[in-house]
Amino acid sequence: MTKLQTTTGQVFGDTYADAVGALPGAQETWINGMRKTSRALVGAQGFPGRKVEAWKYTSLNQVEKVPFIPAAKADDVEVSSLPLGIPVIDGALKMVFVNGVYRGDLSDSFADLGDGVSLKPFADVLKSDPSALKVVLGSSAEACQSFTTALNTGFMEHGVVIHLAKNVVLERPIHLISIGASGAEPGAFHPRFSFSLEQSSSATVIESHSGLPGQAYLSNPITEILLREGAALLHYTIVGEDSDAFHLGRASVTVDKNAKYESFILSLGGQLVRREVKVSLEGLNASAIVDGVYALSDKQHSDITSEILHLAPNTTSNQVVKGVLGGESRGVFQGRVHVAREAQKTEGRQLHKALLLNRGPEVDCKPELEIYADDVQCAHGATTGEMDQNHIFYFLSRGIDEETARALLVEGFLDEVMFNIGDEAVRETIFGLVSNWLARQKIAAVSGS
Amino acid sequence: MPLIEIKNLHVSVQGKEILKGIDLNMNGGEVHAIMGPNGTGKSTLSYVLAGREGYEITEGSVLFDGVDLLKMEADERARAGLFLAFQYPMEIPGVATATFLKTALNAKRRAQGQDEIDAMEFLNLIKAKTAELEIPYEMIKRPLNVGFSGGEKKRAEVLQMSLLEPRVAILDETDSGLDIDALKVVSRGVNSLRSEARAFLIITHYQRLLTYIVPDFVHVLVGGRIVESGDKSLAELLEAEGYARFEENEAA
Ligand SMILES: Nc1ncnc2c1ncn2[C@@H]1O[C@H](COP(=O)(O)OP(=O)(O)OP(=O)(O)O)[C@@H](O)[C@H]1O
Ligand SMILES: [Mg+2]
Repeated sequence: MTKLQTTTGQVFGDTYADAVGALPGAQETWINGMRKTSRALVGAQGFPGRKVEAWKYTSLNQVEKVPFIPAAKADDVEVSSLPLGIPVIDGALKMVFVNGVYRGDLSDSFADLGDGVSLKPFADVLKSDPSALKVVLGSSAEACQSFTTALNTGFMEHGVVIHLAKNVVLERPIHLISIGASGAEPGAFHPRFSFSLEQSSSATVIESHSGLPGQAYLSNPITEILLREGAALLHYTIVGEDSDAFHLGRASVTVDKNAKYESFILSLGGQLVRREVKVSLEGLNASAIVDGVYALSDKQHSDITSEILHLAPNTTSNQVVKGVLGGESRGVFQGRVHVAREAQKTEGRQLHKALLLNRGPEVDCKPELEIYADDVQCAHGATTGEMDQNHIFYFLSRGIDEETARALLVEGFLDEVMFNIGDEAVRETIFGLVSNWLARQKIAAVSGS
Repeated sequence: MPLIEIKNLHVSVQGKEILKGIDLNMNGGEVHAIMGPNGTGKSTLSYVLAGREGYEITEGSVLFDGVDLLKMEADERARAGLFLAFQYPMEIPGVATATFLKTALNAKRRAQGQDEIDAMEFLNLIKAKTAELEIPYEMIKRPLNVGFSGGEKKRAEVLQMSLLEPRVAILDETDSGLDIDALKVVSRGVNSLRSEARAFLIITHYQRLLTYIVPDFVHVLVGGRIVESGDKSLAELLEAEGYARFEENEAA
């Protein structure tokens, strides 16, 4: 344990903080306080070990060993070609972040998105109008509720702040493209994306996370979302980090009365990826879809940890997460659904299914239903299974080769959840990414398995 | 040269011998029926011919058009023109029937050096075939066999056969689960495929099917052996008498 703290102290402790230097917003005591509390938490407790319940299935040992420095500032990094594996969504307005820092030269202009739409680099808001962040950033206690958030909050500087005024319908999707790139030494970065949608406004936001090969980097993005009464957000997160990279990301979402949060996570991994999502359904009739797919190979590790809190009556949540695993990969799904006493007439559905392509991979699944209300409809299910040899034989018996058979079966397995992706352009992109992934796997049967 | 030449075929499953020396020749244009009590190895024979794993061939040989069938992978056999209509067609969630059919058809076309079928042409072909077999066209949009009724599954098998135009078709109890009208429709479908270039092996428990698809030969499979062969009148005899006399011999 002592060793663990020392290491962490070295990695994200004083040396790291010194290297980060003074951050904008320091004039605000509350921001300072938040940063301090978060840094202290990361420093004192270190990386959560497997004894910490929330991290039981995801070990950060590998991450801990890397002597991270603050990632090189954006301008020093040459990014010649976008989009690095994940295509820019058709028709979307793109905002590019390299090592967490906004890069205007690579981004579309967001000057004239229309009345009531405000997009600003996070660092600018920290400098000029930090109090505007008070609502989205919440309290420092909240900032520390997850290690992932604390690590970000301690060093938050860059990102984007998006605000939609009442009744504004933003037709054009916004695509936030985060690119990691380490120089000679492994770099870490902590972007902060925050969205607030006022009453009855709506938008579509895509986040993609990828990176350049080379030294391992650690991407630690946090997304905060606030949906006011009747607002609607389609939120898509695509993670396809470099194979050496680490990703510890989280989305924290508050959904008010009649508001709708519809999301999908595609995790194609990195070396280790953990996506956390927390959705608080705080108002009457608030609803959420929190779907996802992960597709892993080699020794990749991917963790989707979700928390859905039903805090008001008539709230609805739906979650289908499916994983396909090859190589010796590890998949983790932790899904907690909490229904508070006052959240009567709640409907919560959760399903996790994993398909193993051979005998190498393993899956840990931990569904948790906590129901304190009595009039609710909740269901959850989880299955993990290997591909059915009998099914494959059916294809073979019709002259279809084994590789094609396995690809069709995997696609068939994933289609059900991918078809539910509301935005057509995103759906097509995700289908494309998954079929490229399949093509790369050469989903060959491990003979004898 | 026979289309299929089975010689002294012995097959074990998990150490237990199921087929104990099958000899059977089928020529183009012929329809052979196999009848026999439950559990005597009829489906085993069909799976072994189709190339399913898990069967140990301890003795004997099978030639398909003169080529060693047992050396071929299951998908190669199918592309070479072997087809098995399953006794229990599997449900394949997530894969649309149409996708499955098209992939299978294209696999065969590619093997024959043809281009993939044009989308429009495929659509028309499927429309014609489903109409012929009285299958609602909508069904092909559904995941393969998922939630299909027993009879619908069997019709879907015949649809696949009719699309792939095999040279050797094995129908394993395709009649079971079909209502009387469906039996006629399916039989018509099979009969329309009868040709000099094609052979059928029809496994059934009921003589009724054989009044619609009239066989050239009827074989009785008991205890892993063909114990008697004859013409269609043998089926009528079996219908009347059952298998008692063969089973006595078997026990002896
Ligand atoms: N995988 C297996 N493991 C163990 N026994 C098997 C296996 N497959 C088949 N058998 C056995 O082999 C025998 C023959 O089975 P098969 O399915 O070929 O019979 P069948 O003649 O088709 O019967 P039915 O008329 O009921 O369809 C049966 O006793 C069956 O239990
Ligand atoms: Mg059988």
